[in-house]
Amino acid sequence: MKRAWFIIVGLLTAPIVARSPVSPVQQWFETANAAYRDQVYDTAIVYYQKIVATGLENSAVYFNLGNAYFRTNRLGKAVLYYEKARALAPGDPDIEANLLFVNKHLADRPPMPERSFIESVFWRLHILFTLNAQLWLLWAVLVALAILFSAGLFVSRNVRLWFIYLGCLGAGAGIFLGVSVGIKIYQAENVRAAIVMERSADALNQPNGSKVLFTIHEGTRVTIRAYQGDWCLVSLPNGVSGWIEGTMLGEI
Amino acid sequence: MNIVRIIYLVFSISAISFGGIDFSVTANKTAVTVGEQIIVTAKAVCTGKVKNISAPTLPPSDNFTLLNTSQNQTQSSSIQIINGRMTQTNEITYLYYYFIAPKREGSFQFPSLTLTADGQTYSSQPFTISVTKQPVESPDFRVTLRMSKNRLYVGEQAVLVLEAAQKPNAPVEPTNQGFSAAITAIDQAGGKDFSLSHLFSDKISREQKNIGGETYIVYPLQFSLIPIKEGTFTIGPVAFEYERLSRMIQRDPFDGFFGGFFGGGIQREPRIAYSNQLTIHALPLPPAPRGFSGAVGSFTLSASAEPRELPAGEAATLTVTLRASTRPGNVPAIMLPPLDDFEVFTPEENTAVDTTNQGIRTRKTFKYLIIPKEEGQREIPAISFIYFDPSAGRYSTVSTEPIRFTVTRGKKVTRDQRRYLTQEEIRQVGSDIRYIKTPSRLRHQSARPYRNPLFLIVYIMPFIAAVFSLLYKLQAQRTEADAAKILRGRAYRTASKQLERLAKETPQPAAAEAASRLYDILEQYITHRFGFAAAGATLDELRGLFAGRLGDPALAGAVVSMLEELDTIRFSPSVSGRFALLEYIGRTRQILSAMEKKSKGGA
Repeated sequence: MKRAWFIIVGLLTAPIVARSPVSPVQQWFETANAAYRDQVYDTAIVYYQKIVATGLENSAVYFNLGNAYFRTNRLGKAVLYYEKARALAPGDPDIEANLLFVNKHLADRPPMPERSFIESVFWRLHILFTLNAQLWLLWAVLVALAILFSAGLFVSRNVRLWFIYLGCLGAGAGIFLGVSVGIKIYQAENVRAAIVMERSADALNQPNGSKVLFTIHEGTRVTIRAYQGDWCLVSLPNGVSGWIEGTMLGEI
Repeated sequence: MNIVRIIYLVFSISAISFGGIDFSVTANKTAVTVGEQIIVTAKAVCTGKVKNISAPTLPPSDNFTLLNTSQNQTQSSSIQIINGRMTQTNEITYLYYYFIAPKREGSFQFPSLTLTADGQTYSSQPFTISVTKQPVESPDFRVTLRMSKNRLYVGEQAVLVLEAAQKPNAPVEPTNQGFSAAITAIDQAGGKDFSLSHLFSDKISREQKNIGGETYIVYPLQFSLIPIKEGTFTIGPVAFEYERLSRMIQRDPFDGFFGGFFGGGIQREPRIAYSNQLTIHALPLPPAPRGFSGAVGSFTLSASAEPRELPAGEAATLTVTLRASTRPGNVPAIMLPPLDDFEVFTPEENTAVDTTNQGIRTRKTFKYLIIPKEEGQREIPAISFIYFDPSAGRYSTVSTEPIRFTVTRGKKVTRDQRRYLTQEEIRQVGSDIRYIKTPSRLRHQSARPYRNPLFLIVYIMPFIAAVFSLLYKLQAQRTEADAAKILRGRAYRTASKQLERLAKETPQPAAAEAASRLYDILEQYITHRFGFAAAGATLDELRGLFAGRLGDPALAGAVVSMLEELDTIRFSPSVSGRFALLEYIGRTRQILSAMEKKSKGGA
């Protein structure tokens, strides 16, 4: 019996023990930050990239990496990592500010979305939480609704009426959260975006084509619509499309 | 016999038929000039079902440039009835277009194209295209390339003009494709030698002009040209596509009316006109003086300040405007002379650009926030700007007049004390990216947390809880309903047994007690049999309920009268003396029996 307890406790604490002292990720992060502070940006990039190579996804790492690339005048990579950071922490004001700042230095200015007041409110609410937080919030709303429903089966008619009012409020919040989560999941699964990494990239009429349809420059965000070998069919917000070699793009 | 063979060969070149597929390759013209566009069409007509068909690939060639490709597919179906027998034919036509332009003069073979359909290969025959020299300039349509000046310094702006000109009533017309191809050709001509920028890119103007004593309609395309490095460079000749219009031959009298009315009688034949070649000499700049920051062109400088009279420590705005006859990228920032008497903040810079027929003009305005430190007469000395003047071929300096300030005594300002700005006066004078984030611990943030099985499990839990609650509630209701059913089934038997027991009791109970027990037996029967609490109901309510449930108002009245009677005996001792128990038991049994029959009959 005692042995079984040891095994259970060991299994439960193993991930914590394994991650904290042994993993050098935190150490690399500190080293990279120190290098950045000392303006040794190339060294900072090396350490931030080591963290990224471990598979750890963290908005702070991506944000700092974007800063380091910006300092070394690699705008394409800077935009790419800011976008990656924004995907993990939408609504973060620092990421938004830096993206806005870097966009001013790009050859191709991104279009500024025009939103009405109502749209702006919904957009703010949509990006208020990360997807992870939003999923837990939606779960909490569902639990609350389940409790109200279960309790409503066994209470008197008057009390049940109050439960129905509360349930309607919860359902409204749940619907909004559900739609927002649905949009985010759809975008994560279906929308492929990329950033131009080269100084300029010609979009051709077909893979290995001879006709240049348009030229875009470093840091421009494009939507990838299809792949064919090493080539990607990309489109811009105004709808124009063309084929660009995948090596010229960094996928977000 | 030989003629038959030749005819056979000719047909076999133009169309090769293999079973269900006819594959042929044609060109819209085979005699062209250098650079003229040819459209080669590969056509595959499939009469049967074809699952996989791949587009023919044009092999690379030194003789021509592949400009573009496109493809199209059409489907047609026809039904024939011959001698009562119906035959249906489905045809799918695949069209592959290749837009090519010959690179050099001479004759060359357009290569054989290969089409693969369902594993079978079909090849076309090569054909010859003859390419002649550039055509002799047409008197109706001409293209000219000219520059505002051909000898210019590195960094100096000149205007390059491509003029497409046509005679007013000549049957020629420039095409949109011709304009866009010419603009692209000139844009690409710049390379690393000089920088080109298309002026008035949003419109193509049209004007009348006298060229060589004749009137022409001219379409000018203007470009700002700035040499990047010294040397001699050439631009052109630039090919410009236009159309020659000719009236189609009328085959029947209706063509004359409908063709003329709807404009369908005009045939458009594409032609190419070539411009002249321009040579540009880019001269190096002479050795630069100290303070030269690379500005080439003509420049003017002006400065003003507001207010000119102010207390020490208060802010004034110094506005310096630099006007230049070049692009904004070639206009450097100005440098203020040392201003020891003032505190100077980083300027707010505004750039305005004008596009004129003489090229791009730039106006840069620098607004400085300056604060005089001490009272007295203070002066901003002349601000100077050194530039290279190409028209004079030397370096020049442009300067402003000194600006004098009358500074009065400020509020407690000494030389070492800084006067802080009000919140309204504070402006953002610099901008930069925000600093790195330094969280104490890095957590993994998944971009797709919903893929974690944990989410699936926890998301099901609220639904399971709700379903369990509902099932529990239904089960409880069913149990309650079952208990009521058992009681209903046993109600009459229980009441009868209780009546028998009461009849057999010795000694007989007192009248009040017996009436009370009979009342209870009736009440219990009603409660169990009819499923409502008779104990709490008034006699009127019971009458109403019985009338509804039993459908017999007389029986309902009898039941209520019996209950009323028993109630009276229970609580009225005067009546109890005349109480005959067995008689009441008998009446109660009759009522119970009648109710039982009625309720079963009703059921």
